[in-house]
Amino acid sequence: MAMATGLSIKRIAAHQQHSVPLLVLSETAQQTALSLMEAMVREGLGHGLGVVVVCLEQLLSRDIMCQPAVALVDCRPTMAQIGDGSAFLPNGTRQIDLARLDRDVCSQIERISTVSKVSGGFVVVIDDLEPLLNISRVDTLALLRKFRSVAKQCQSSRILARYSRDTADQRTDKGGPHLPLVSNVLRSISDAVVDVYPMSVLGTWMPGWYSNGEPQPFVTLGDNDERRGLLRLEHRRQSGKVGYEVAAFEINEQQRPVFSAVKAVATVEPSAVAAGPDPRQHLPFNLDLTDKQRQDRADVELAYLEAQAGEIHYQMAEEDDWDEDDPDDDLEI
Amino acid sequence: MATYKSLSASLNWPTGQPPSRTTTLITGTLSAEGSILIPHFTNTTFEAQTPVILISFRHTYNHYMHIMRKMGVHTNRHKLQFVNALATGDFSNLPPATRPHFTLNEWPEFFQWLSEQKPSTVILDGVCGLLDVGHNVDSVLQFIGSCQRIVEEKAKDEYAALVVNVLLDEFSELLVRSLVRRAHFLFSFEGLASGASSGVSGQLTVVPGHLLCQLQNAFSPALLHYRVSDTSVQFFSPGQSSTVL
Repeated sequence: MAMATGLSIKRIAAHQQHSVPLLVLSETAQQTALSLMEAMVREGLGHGLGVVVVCLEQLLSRDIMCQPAVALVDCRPTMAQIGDGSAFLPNGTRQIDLARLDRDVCSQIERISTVSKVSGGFVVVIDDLEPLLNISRVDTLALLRKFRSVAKQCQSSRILARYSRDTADQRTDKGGPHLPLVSNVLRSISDAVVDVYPMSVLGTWMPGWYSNGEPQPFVTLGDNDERRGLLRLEHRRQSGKVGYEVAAFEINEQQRPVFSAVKAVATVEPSAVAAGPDPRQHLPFNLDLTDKQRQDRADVELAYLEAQAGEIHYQMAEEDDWDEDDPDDDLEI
Repeated sequence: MATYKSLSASLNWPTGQPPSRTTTLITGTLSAEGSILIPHFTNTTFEAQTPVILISFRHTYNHYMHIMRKMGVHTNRHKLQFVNALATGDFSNLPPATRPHFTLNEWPEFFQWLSEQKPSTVILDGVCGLLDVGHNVDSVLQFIGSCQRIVEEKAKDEYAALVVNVLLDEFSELLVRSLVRRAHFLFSFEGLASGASSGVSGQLTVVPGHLLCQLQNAFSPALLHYRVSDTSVQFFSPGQSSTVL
């Protein structure tokens, strides 16, 4: 895979593209986005940005958390809360005060912006969105919108959030029977959504992929590779235009993301087909046609050809509804 | 237990144990049980002079004792503590050899008890049983997540790890997908793709969980076949059964 400098995801990750105040990473059980998210956080730290980490399940890697430019908003249940049962509601939902979370994040943004080398620039990392969506989808989206508007005030700032697209709709706050999918809602408020996949799905994106209908195993060798994967970027620009991109990512030795273009279309070189040997060369029997055989074949009259080529007379029944309009009228050709 | 050493070698785990402070998720199917790894994790923990706490939502203490005895794992009540999560009540009348060390009544009470134990390998067997009795996925994740937090706190100075075994089917798939995101290692047991075989019981795919990227760990994903007999479980590379068996 050749390196391509023109990749949008590369510019976004390197903070060279400033029109992405809210970036959402989506993952599945087969491929984590955690390694890519942490690599992008390291990229932000490398650019001198302050980082506010909102932890709801697990802390980020130690090398990130120990940085002076990183502030933690810890929403994990404490040992005391686990011991007295106050961390969770009876239905298993976490007890998190979203209003307090809002205040804590904003105060940490103010504090961290003062230590940021890029004037006022920061990254807020939310890991991950599912517990918040589980409490209230509406309030979580409002929170994200608010953080996004704060991030927009500084060109290089960004909100980075991770969620699981294969479980979010089934586990998060139902609210009502006709709520749109979590993924659709997040796409509508985000400036960019990065869906990660294992490298093994690349073969299924090429034309001509065939499935024999057998159920696929839950995991295959190569899943959840913490060093590499495939991603699909959906980038909504301020003009309203939406750009799509497929790329491969790799986490290098310095724990930074490296992106490369992916050829997701299989092509066959015509010369490769033409240059092959004639399979009829060394056969013990003759597959060629003589001129007389060709002529005889062309003279064969197909039994029902006349019926196929002629008009079809259809006797309308009572329930039929004949439409005089041409069905191709709406085609602009 | 020489038979499990081939598995440890394939995974690049010198002691046979997963690293401390990690969560290992084992999934199995009706035709390929994941619980065959419980004797392995128990024995490697004993060899490292660490105790085991086994919390079962599937079987009684007797069941595990019999299996481990057959597999050559020498358990005693000081090294292996058993928590019966199947039934509540007073078990004090049971003989000491089969009496559970704790029963799972109120969860906060259990978490308090678990916090007071020594750093151990905590094994949760059959957590999908909680779904069967009516808990939703969030409640089950709450339970496992709390155990995970307690184990991580315990593992600050000594070895402690969490192993979770769950049956994977259409009813527990959502739970398993959520658990993969909270695990460092995933052991997936399933039947052979090509159909049943008398020589091979099934196949094991070992891949990283989502959290492995946070460890600086030389872990090798592996695809192995295995055969379960009365007193042993043998792991081998696909196609090597005639050499090994």
